[in-house]
Amino acid sequence: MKTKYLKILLLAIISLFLLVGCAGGPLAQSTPGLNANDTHVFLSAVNKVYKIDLENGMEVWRYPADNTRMVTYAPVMFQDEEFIFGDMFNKLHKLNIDNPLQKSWESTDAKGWYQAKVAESDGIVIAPNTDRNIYAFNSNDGSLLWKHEDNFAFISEPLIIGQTVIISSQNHKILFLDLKTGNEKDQPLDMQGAVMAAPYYIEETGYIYVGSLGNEFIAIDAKSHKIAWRYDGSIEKLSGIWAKPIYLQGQLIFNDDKGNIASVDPYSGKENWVMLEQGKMLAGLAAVNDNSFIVAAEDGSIKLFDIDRKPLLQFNIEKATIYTTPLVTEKLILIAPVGAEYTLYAYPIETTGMPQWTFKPTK
Amino acid sequence: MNIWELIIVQPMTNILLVITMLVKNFGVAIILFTLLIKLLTIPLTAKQVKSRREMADLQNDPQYKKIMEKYKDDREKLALEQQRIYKEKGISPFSSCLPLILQMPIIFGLYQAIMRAMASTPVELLKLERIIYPFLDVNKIIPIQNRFLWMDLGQPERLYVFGIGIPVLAILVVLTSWLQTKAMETPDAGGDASVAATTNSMNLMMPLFMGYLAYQYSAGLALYFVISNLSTMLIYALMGEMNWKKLIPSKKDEVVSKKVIETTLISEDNDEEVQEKQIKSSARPSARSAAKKMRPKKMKK
Repeated sequence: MKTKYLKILLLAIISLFLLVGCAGGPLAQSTPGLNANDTHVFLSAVNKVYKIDLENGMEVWRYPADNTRMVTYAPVMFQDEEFIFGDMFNKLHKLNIDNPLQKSWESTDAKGWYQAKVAESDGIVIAPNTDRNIYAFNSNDGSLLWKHEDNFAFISEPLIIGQTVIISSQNHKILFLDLKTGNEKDQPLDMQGAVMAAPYYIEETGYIYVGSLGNEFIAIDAKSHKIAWRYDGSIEKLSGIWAKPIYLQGQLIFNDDKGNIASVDPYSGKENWVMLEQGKMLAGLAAVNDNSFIVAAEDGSIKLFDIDRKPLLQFNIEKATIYTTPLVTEKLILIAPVGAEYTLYAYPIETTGMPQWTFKPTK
Repeated sequence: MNIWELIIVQPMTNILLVITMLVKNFGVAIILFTLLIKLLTIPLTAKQVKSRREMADLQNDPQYKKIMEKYKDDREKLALEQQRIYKEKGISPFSSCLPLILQMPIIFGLYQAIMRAMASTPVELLKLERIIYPFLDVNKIIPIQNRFLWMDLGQPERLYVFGIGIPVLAILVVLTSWLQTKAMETPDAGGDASVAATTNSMNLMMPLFMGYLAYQYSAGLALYFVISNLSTMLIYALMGEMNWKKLIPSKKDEVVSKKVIETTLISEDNDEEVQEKQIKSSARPSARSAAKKMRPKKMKK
């Protein structure tokens, strides 16, 4: 009997050592996904998508309602009465907004995770996947139209301008693909680092704006696909840029992951002002109204500034880590932290730092 | 950042990234980094080997055998006498474990550095970017290109042949782990038939467990296991600690090992006589000889 115990003990000790080592590795974490229409907010968090009433924060439905295995962080994309989102079990779903059990289609063509929000134009859904492919599906039936392969996972939302798909690549490039065929319409634009942020287009200027992990923020001419200007302001060395900029009263405002915030002229890149190191920040900025914007730092601190960077308000969500860019609707500022008491916090636009409602999924 | 991250994981991750930047291939970088760590821990390994040898020699020391026999029924006295002999001969029974324990953080750190470098989600990439030393210009190579030969180092490895996914690395992990444990077995480990049986089952369980990890987790981890096993075998071979003969199975061995297992099972069934014989045979040099000596008595019975 002693031998038996010795065996079990030895195995347990070795397993423990190994598992301790294994547990220290990075987990498949990601950032909660948020999107809203006029009446509801859709939250993609961990293993469900929740439809929540914007008026009172009540859950309308959750998908899947049962214990079907799913992990999703990608924000949903609305298309008429339906919505499309991808999960981390390689599936892309198109479901009815009012009743998610009414499924239009489900695609299992991809082999990796869908981490980003998909884009749609002309009946074609463009879905980036971590299996190093960008997929194009027929929006009506989910049939695969084309796929474009590269060397790295695609994890940011595509931008569609006319018949061109513009997508950030971790292969230090911006790709320009034909919407109908997936072929390259133009030579990829070389960047100095991996491009994690989704490209942002302002029709008025005709430029696409994007930053990378290579200490750069650039404007690209949407027609020629050439660099129009490169940020060269008073921030000595930009850190990694993970989020889209915002456009507010003629100012283009962007942030890096050290919390450096810069306002530039969108035509020339000339700097208007900067605020240095406002706290670690993966999330982007969000315009609250014509005159102010909100900054959500990773440590859970929320700051509101006016367009001339005058601080208006600061408050904190306890124990929160914020990775997701706040979402601003007509009446609410929505913040989806991780690690906090609630999964979603809704503040009135004229906020005082007190939430109007909070949401936590019931078991 | 906690102390573990600061002292172990962060420097190791940065070294791994620098190697990746230099060789421009993450698979090659994992191989080189594993070999580098193995080289750096050679002094610890040498110390461990030396202690193992000393302990093995002691098992054959007549004075030690005499004490084992004399105090076999008085554990307290036996322990005291053993301590005295250890002191006399300048041997520390724990000194063979200490280098192993000291290597543990390095091994786990190495594993964590590999996993950290293979970040794929935005949060993982952000965390990776944050632990890169600012004076190194390696943030431009992240995310790391995970492709190596037919493998995606961030995913569990399969080599598809006619549509069937063969886990080549997992098989190699099992094989090299088994070869390693088998060829590095201490000659005296099996002096006691029950210990020999435990060792045998461990020698089988551990490679299978490692293989399971390699099958389930990323190919980068499996690659590390294979290289680590091969380099450990090489280092031990250079130190003359590999018993290659143990890798060649013979009919004789099979019979002997069956007998050892049988004997152990009998001893577990409270066969006091056999147990007594086993205790007596504990100072004998190998499982094979122990089994051989026990066989006739069992037959007599």
